[in-house]
Amino acid sequence: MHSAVNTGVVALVGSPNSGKTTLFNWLTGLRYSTVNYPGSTVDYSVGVTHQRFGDSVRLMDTPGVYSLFPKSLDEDVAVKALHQHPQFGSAELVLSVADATQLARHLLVTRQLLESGFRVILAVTMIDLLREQGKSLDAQLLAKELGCPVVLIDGRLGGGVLELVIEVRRRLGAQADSIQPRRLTQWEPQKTEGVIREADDLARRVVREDARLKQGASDARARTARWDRTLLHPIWGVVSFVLVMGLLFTSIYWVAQPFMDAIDEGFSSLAGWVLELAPGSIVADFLANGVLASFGAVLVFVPQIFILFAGITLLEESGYLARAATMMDRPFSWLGMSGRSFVPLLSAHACAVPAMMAARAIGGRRERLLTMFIIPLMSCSARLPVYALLLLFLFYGQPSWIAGLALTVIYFGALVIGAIAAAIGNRILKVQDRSFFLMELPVYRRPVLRAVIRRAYDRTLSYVRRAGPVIFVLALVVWAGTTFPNNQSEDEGVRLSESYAGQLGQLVEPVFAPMGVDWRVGIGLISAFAAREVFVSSLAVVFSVADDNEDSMRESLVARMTEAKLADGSPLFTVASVTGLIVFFIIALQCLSTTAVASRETGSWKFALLQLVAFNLAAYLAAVGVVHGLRALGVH
Amino acid sequence: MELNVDAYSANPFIEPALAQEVASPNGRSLADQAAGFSGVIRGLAGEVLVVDRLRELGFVAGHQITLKGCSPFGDPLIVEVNGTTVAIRRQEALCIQL
Repeated sequence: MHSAVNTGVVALVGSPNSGKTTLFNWLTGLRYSTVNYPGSTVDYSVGVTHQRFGDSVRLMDTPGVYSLFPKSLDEDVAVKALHQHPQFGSAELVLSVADATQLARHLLVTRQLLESGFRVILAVTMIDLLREQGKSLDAQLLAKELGCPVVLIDGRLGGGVLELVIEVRRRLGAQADSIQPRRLTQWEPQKTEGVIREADDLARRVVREDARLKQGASDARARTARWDRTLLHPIWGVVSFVLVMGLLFTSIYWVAQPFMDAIDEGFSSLAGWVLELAPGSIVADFLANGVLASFGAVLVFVPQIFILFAGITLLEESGYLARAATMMDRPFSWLGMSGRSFVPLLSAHACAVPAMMAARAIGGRRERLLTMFIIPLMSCSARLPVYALLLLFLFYGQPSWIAGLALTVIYFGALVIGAIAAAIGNRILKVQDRSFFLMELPVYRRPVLRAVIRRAYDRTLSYVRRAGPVIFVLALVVWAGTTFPNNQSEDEGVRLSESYAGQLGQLVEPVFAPMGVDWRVGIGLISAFAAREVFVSSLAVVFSVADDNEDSMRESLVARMTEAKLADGSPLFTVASVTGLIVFFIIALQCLSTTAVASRETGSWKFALLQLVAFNLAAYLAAVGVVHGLRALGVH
Repeated sequence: MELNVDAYSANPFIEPALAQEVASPNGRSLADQAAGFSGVIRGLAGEVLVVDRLRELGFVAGHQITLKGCSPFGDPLIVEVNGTTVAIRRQEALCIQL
């Protein structure tokens, strides 16, 4: 973290959709780091003000709150971070963020902050939208009535941010009497109503029609209402939902493809170059067949994760995601969940770990647990390289759209299995509480591309950081296990089957034999418990694909897979065994980080254990069933 | 738009007593209104958690409320109150007395 003038922290607090994060991005110039609140996995950002505003001030962006009386876990974290942050203590100063077009409602939090005893500066955002409505805001009157400084922020151009920083520094410098903020005790309904009515009245007095401002041809609310007529229409709403989601998921493929090819070929040629540098040396073999082969196999799908994260952030920022969640509320409620489950389940297609964290926004404990229960069943991006490899094998030499179609079937299959699991979970879950759904539909806004890219980059990087070390260590283990003890042997087959991994594999082979595979795949499946994508890198190491470098790694891995034989001489990878593997990967929970997060987030290791055992057992039985079923039908 | 009391008896998570309390016997809740309805909130009644959150979102006695329509699958309803557009389930709309 960069040095800052303040020892504590200035907290940004406001309702969801108040423009809080946009303001934070302006204040910091996107120089921030995303951190976990200690003891939990809710992340929020801490940064310092940009140098162009002078001496740095440390800022914290907290999760959005509708009031300081929390009704979901992420609201709870926001309030805790405000009062008793383990590192920064109680916030030195609070920037209460309110949307000018929603002033009355957003002033509730401002009032609560003031009553808690914080030093508050009110930042009123989206002044530009207010002007579009032909209105202006009397900041002086508002400041006088509230008893705290008020700064107006232009939502589009960022005007007012410098004034805000100056005000922050002035207030921090004025070391007046020390403040002792306290957590509020729950207000009586009459009190809340009274404060809201007062805020209403105040908003009416400070926001006025302004004759100098011509009402814009279309203000944001009128525009939003027009868009909603289509996007929430009984027919067109569903059509556009399918189109938007279809576009998001297909872009994961066609946009990412060139980047993936470049990464794949880059690693292949690098590995080939290393092998040529010192032929026959154990170090070169380790670097090429161990490290480079496994990293290449995994980094190749980073572009896809990035695009998925960017797409989700884009939808979130534009305001569409709230509509999508609203639309999904009905179908989800049949399964005991709510529309709030939509965003976690959508992010689960990138990675289950952040999705489990996103589930904190779900208020009801029951629907939150159900959502978290089925999150691991969504087709996360770690499964992508596995599917990509197995489908490449199944449809080798056929037009690529066939594999694409098969992948779509896999995605839908996973959704159906998720729905079944939710229905089962709905029956066995003992927690009973009332499910409710209240979702604010913000006005549609054009997302700021730079901020979207930054957010997607953050999420991708944190993913790579988490997966990277695991992949490295396992690559080392798998490589050593398949290379030693008799690495001098000329015969590759002997070398492999007599290696440590080979010996271990033969021990566990009886378990995997019903799936129609041998110990080599078994090793891959076991190592995939660290992270699914390790399956591909293990296969790459086991079949030492970096050895022949004419082609890209995936292609040569498929070529090696085609040649691989079982002990009895029949092919190892057949349509039946590969389909069985795909089914296994759809259901299995081979991700210990997911289990760790599930246990921490639910506060119940029983829940996490149940998930782990149930999904893996179901996956194994389903895979065995599919393999034998296909063979019975004559498909080998 | 009909009052769907059956949704409550079919929902095992709600105490029957509570369901009766929120089921608005006089037919004057927001859930009884047709799309396009506009009126004034008389009060809120129902489960504390839901009512508290509704209040914090600006659903307060005396406020003008408009029922703009419903989402494609019929539920939730799209409601506008005090310049804010909110999606709420019919179940929550029952808490809003007119």
